[in-house]
Amino acid sequence: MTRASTPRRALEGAGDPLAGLSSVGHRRLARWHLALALVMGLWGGLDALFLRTALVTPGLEQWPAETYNAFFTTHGLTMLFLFVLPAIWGFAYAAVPPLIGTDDLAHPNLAVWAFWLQVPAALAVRSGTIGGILGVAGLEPIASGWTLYPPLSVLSPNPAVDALLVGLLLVAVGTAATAVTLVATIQRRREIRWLDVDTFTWTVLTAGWMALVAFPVLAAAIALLLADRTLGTAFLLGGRGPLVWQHLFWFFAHPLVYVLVLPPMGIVGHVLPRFAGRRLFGRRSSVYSTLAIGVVSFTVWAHHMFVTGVGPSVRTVFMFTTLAVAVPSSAKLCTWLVTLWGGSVRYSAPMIAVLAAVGFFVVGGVTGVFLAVVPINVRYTGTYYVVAHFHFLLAGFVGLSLVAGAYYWYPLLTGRRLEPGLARLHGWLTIVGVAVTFGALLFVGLAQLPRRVATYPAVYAPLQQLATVGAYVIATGQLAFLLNLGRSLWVGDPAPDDPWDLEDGPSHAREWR
Amino acid sequence: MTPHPRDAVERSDPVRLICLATIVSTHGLVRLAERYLPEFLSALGYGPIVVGLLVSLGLGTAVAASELSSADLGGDATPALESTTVAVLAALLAAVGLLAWAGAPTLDTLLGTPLTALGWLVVGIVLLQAWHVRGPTRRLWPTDTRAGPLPSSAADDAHARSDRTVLVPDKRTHVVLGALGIVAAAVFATTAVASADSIRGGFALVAATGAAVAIVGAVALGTVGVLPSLFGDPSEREERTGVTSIDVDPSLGVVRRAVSRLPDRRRWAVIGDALVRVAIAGTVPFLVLLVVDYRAIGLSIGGLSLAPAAVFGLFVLAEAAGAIAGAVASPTLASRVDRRLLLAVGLAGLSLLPMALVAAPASAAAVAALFGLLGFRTVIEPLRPTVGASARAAPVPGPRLPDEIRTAVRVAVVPAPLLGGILYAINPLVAFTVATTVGLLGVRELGRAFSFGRDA
Ligand SMILES: [Cu+2]
Repeated sequence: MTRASTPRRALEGAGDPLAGLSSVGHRRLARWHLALALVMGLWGGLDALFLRTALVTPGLEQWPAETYNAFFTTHGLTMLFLFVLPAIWGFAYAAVPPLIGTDDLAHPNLAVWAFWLQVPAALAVRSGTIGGILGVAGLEPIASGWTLYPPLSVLSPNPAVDALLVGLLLVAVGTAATAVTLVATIQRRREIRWLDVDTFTWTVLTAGWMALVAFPVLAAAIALLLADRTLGTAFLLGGRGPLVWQHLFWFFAHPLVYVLVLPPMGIVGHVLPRFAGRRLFGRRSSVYSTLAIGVVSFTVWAHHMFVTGVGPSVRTVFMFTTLAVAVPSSAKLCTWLVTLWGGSVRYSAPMIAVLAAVGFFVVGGVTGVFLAVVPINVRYTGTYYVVAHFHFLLAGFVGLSLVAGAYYWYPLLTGRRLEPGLARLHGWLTIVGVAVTFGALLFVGLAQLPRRVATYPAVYAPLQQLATVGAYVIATGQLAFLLNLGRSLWVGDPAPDDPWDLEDGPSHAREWR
Repeated sequence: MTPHPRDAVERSDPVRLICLATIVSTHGLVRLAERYLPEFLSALGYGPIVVGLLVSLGLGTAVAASELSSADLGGDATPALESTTVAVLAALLAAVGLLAWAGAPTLDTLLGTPLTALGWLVVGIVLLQAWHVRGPTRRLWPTDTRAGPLPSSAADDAHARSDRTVLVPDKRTHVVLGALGIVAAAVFATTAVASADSIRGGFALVAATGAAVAIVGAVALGTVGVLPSLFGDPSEREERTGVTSIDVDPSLGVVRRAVSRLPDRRRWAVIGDALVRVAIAGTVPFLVLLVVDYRAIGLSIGGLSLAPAAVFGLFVLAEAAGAIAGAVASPTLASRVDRRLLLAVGLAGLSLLPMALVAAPASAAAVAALFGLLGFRTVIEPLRPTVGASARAAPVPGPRLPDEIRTAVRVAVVPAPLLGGILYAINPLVAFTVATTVGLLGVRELGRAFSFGRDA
């Protein structure tokens, strides 16, 4: 075999940027998505940093309350739609084709257009911030929360809300198109048997199908909202209008959470055995649990609406469906833990991130199960408890899984290596920061402090300050990551052919062959 | 031959640089928080006597802790590993201490403890001494406003024998690094205090940021595994060999005997210098109260106007800049100017600064210049008799200063802030005048030492 090694092939065609605009290989698509995710992730992270800074003092010292509201709104929108989503598609483009033995995407042109839609989408979503900073007439940062509940979102005179809605429409269209590309690639271009398809690809396939169901609902809901705002209709106003929005929105948004969580689960299931020196235990059950999550997560949305007056029997049904999602999730946790059991663990940067992700998954999962129980939910919904819960999952589990994927596949994508010391530093700072920040917020939440309020009773200042300290630690960690990336682009020492020494291991993965 | 690229990469070692940067920043933010603490205390309703008491308590804890910790340094743990663990712990304790400060007003209500805000401030002070005594930056400037280890002479001896100079380049690095950390922290503190409406908000921001950077430093230290070589092994070794003779409890009798064993002029010089140290240590904690409350020196440039509390950060910045200038100028001045003259003029000038700060015109520029001069004291630091330099080139030559005396000087500095606080409570003018008087008395003692030398 004289075929060039995988990392070497990574940069093929990279020297010709313009040729890539219309038809490109999957690796370039991966790099585009990940670059967008990086930029938007930093921007959304900056929002979080500002809002954490505002919370150092219980009163309004630095910014007015409206600015604070804008910070958490844009933070949520940016992180969910413009950071995690493109990051997931980026890793999918990077790893899935080699894992299923192909070099071709099913609809490469569709994939390219889907990506380029995300750039105007990102600008439109952030137009309030951009306009606010540049002083463009009338544009103000949106401060209604990422859930855009009417009537506030319908009645707001801020033109940035319209821009945001158009941006989200573009996100929905682009995401659906990307999902089509990935699903079709896995189903049609696969050169291996279904039985041999790995767990990460299964999670991407499931997430792709889920996106194909969920995002059209988002598009429809946004169309109604836009119509109410611009055409004078009243779909979402008046009596049950706001509830219609909530049903539509959460029917989309809870599956969205699993679109964002499943591929990270796949990354954990993919990376963890490779540094534990073993094969993934219970591979088949892990595939079934992926599919189960994909189906069941469409039946739980009303758990976000327990306090909106839905009937008690409805609440009970949704409580049990929500608890049901915990079953396949726990099954996944078991496969990871059993795989670790007795394995010989190598603590490289991806593995450190994966292990921490599993830990945060446990914390986020347990706090989530409590939240599913109606009486507890009624008490804690709208408090920092919820913030802590979903950040343990999204920042702790998803975030660190993405970090793991970034380190693990970086040589595949760029043919270069990252500095391991900086990588470990990045990992540890992120882990410590997440634990401190959301641990502190969990305690704030147990005291039932309402979230999304710019001021709070002075009693909670120490815990809020601790959370801010943690946020600063996370931020510094990401600087270490940027430094590592910059250094790698600048110094650019090439990655070895088998960067993780997997060749002789029991779980040598197809993407490195 | 070109080196292998991998080697070049390993040598630049970014993690070590980050480690160094965060530790130096932690140093700066801890010092800035300490400098702002009196203002925070006064915002919480405590007077200057409490300020002095707290600062004295911190100094006392540091002296006690450093004596105790240096006494049991004889264990056979791997030095590098042990010092890393200690440094990580020190950084984490500093973070907890800063958080205790920031949260002091409400920690009782939150945790149900009966400590009161003052109690939590005390907890913070005590925890921060771990950073001052065993933290990786304990040799960084300013060491003279702390009761931490004074620069010691063993390393000087080695250098002095080799190149006949008391000015060890290592120490200049320590001054410059420490001052740079303070410059960075001062810029941040000015911004933070200016952006917050009250000193309470600004102080909480500085302390919380300090805690965050300290945690980053701890993680970075843990990742590197061994301390960056910049924070010197030489001092570490010197400490190990030097401590064996230290009495854990240098009783008055022991000190008196050690003092009496000194030749007269050496004794006068040491006492004189110690008096100046006492004067400065009793002044520094109250500078912020003087500048912000008593004199209320604000600043407005163009459309931007800064409240006095924010301007104080700029004054500290001027002081750090002066320190760098002093460290840079020190070798040149010491080789061109008569060292005795330099020392005497330097200490006299230093002693006059408290009065000058009270009397200076109420312009930010004038006060900043005085702060710059205060920082410039680093120019004479290597010449000061209490440092114990034994080089033949020292202004008051002699053998290495006994450890008992070095400890006694550190102990003597401890009550200075408390006395300063009591005097400041009577009248700020009184406190700063007394400080200058004490300092000038010290200079007179030093003069006796010099004239004695001239006669002999
Ligand atoms: Cu949900």
